Amino acid sequence: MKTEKILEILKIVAWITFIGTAVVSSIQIIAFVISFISPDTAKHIKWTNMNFANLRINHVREYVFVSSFLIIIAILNVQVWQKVKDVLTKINLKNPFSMEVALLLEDIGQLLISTWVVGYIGENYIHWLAKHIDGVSGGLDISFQYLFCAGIVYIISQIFKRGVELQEESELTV
Amino acid sequence: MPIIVNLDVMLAKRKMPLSELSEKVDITLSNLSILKTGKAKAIRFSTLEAICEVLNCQPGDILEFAFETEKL
Repeated sequence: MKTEKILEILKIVAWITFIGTAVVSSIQIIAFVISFISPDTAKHIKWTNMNFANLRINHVREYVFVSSFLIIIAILNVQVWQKVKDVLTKINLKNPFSMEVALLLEDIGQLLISTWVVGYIGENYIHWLAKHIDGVSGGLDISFQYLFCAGIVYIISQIFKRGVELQEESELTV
Repeated sequence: MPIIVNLDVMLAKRKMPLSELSEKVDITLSNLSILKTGKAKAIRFSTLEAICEVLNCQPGDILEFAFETEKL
């Protein structure tokens, strides 16, 4: 009963976070598109203390690269939260081992790894830019926690898959 | 799967419907159907023993091993 309540609360939190990340990534995409019409809009792209407006006006190619990293990470975050919301919606404590949930967990693991990879490349790119262009500072703030979480979620998904197989085997034992 | 379940053959030989076997071995009809259609992944010795006892046969009469033909 207590676990069910916690899951219900987590489901609500996941829904709110999913909507929040979706709104944030939409703003980033819209601001990025509009910045090509009106370069001033670039200042609305917020991540670190980096001056995006300066980058947009003086270094368009670099601006496209950095913004692309930010947008890809934002989209991956939305996908992660969408999958988390789906897991919490579809999980049934009476019969928890379902292949659908196992595959969703595996997807979350893969998305987290992808986020870390994109973030790692983006961060190194920003560090490289910082040495060559004035006003570029900070990074994407993608730490090894993503990689750690991805590993843990992936391991759990594999254990879950084995659980599904065992449950299926048990059901088909006469 | 290379293990073939010949329960339907033995039932036909003994002229016994699946429902009657289900009552005699005390196993649900759905579980016996799973066994008969070859969907079962495992069979308990106790189940095999009960079926052999009721059908008066050997485990080999119910289960058969066949080599899988290579897929082209």
